[in-house]
Amino acid sequence: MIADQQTPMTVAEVRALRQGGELSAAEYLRRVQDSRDATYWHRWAMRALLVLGAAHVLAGVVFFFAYNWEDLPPFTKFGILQAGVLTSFAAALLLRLEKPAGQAMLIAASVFTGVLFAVIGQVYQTGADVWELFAAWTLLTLPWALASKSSAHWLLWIILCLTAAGLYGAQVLVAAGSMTQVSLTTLVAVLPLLFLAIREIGLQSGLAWLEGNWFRRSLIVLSMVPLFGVALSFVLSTDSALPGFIVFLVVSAALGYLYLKVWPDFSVLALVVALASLLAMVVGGRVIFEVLEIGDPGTAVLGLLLLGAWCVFLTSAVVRLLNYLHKQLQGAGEYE
Amino acid sequence: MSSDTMPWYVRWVIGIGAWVTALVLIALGAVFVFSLLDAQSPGALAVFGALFFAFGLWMLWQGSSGIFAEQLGIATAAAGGAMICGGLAVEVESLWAGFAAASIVLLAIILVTDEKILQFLAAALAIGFYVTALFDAKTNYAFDLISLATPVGLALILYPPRRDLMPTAVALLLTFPVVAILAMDRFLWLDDLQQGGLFAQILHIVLFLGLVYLHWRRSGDNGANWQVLAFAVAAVLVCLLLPAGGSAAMLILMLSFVIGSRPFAFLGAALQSQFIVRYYYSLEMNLLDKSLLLMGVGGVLLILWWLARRSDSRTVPL
Repeated sequence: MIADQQTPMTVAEVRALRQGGELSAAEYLRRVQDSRDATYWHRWAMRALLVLGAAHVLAGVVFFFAYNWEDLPPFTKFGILQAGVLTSFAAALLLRLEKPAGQAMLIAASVFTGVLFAVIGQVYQTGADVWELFAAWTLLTLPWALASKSSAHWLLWIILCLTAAGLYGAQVLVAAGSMTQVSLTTLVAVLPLLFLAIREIGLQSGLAWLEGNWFRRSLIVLSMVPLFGVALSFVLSTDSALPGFIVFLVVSAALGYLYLKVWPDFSVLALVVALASLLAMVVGGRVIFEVLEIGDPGTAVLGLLLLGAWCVFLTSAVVRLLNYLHKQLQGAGEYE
Repeated sequence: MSSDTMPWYVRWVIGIGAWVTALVLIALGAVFVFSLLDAQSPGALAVFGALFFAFGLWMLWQGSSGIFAEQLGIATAAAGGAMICGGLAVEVESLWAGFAAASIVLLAIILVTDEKILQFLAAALAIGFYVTALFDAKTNYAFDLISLATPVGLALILYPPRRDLMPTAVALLLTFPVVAILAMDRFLWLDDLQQGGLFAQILHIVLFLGLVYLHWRRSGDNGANWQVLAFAVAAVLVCLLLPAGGSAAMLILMLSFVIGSRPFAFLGAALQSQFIVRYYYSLEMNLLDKSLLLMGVGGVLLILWWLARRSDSRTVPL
């Protein structure tokens, strides 16, 4: 039935009417246009125009400097980047750090600082390792991160810190033979969990700006994805990755407990369950292929058949488990 | 928790499980056909693919079997469809045969199921064969021929048939901008033939103006309409200056505005940013010319924004 002309319909409703044959194709377009929020799209158009214009001009400026970059004298290069740092910093203060625009400007100042370091290293050929660049970048931008009251700024700083730690490990410790690459990856993957713990304590202490769940999820992804890679490498081939495999299991269990019982967050549980089930699929595959000693097509078919069944079983179990956890959190009234 | 009320990440978890399972099943079939039965012909791949395709469609046909079965059905049918087309293309040594097979697969999917992801994948496969066949045959004016996908996609979005062809329409609409952006990396670049592009550029400008007309015709706000008209004139100038890929992205942004679609606004913005990034590496102009062109285009857009702000009777806060 066609709705009253005066009642605005959603696009989904208009589409359903079209698919039901109650609207002609031409009438469909008219209804879609009528259902559109004119004020929103007017504002969107104005913003799009501003963003498109600014993006093209900025891209043009970047292209211009890229064209001339080699010919610019070193002090001009430093001047441009230092002007970037100072302008962003001044704009951040002017726009106020409590406002997103001010916080974005402070992030820009942090980014310019790193680019300035890179150019200094390029011009003077200091011979410094890359980790030193990132370490200096991390240290010098720490006060801005502390002042920012912005989770986004902290995430950038944490990524810089992890990069510096990872590069230091690879260029110094692994190169000197005092650590394996797998151990380094495991250690660096645990670092975001320390920041996560600080974030949770800070939040409990009343730092409301840390509230965004995306920050928590980002830290967990930064930790769990590399740990998953290490655990996977243990299952597939590398025996030396056993500690990483154990750390993955322990961290998964700890996160599962904490975000089910202490700070209920279903998205974290879903991520942990997803990675654990994927790992279980690979473990199943390894066990099946080891036990069957695949050598001929017959056993390969049997092995793949068993693996397929194992994957179906695991995915079904994951669906049930997630349903159960979802109900538990909903029942506790603490669902996020 | 029914599949409709599941958060998106749970759907992803289940979807990944289903796709991994589908990969195992595909490997199982491949081992069965190529090792156990010792079949050597690519035609066998097509036959084997047909079995998978039928199995996948059958799973989707079952309807209310849950999200796992749904995702497994999509993955299996998509892989089956790709194997049919790939097997046939290799067997008869013709990409056009692959395109024909992919078109038939797409038609079958449209007729049998409402599954949007599967329809999009099948449409993308058919378009992929079409584009590759054009370049492989060193067809003159290949870009112009590819740009013909845009008006078809646009028509299907604005004046849809009763059967839901939105995924196919989106795939068609994305064809030209994606190919144009890839071509900037010389990924699809063929130096020794006339690739075309002028027709594509004019076609996109005409379509852009068509969208402006559709909005103008329906809107009753004269003040806003004059703003839109001024924007259209400036946008046409911008489209004339930019390579056709940029115009195509602008067209998608305009479409999002006309029909009020946030997904298209996101797609258009993503394509336009990709265009600017890839433009840096394109070898058609030197960096200085590109820089001046971009600054000029940006300047025009900013002046337009400023004028629109001044004349904005709505005083909408920005």
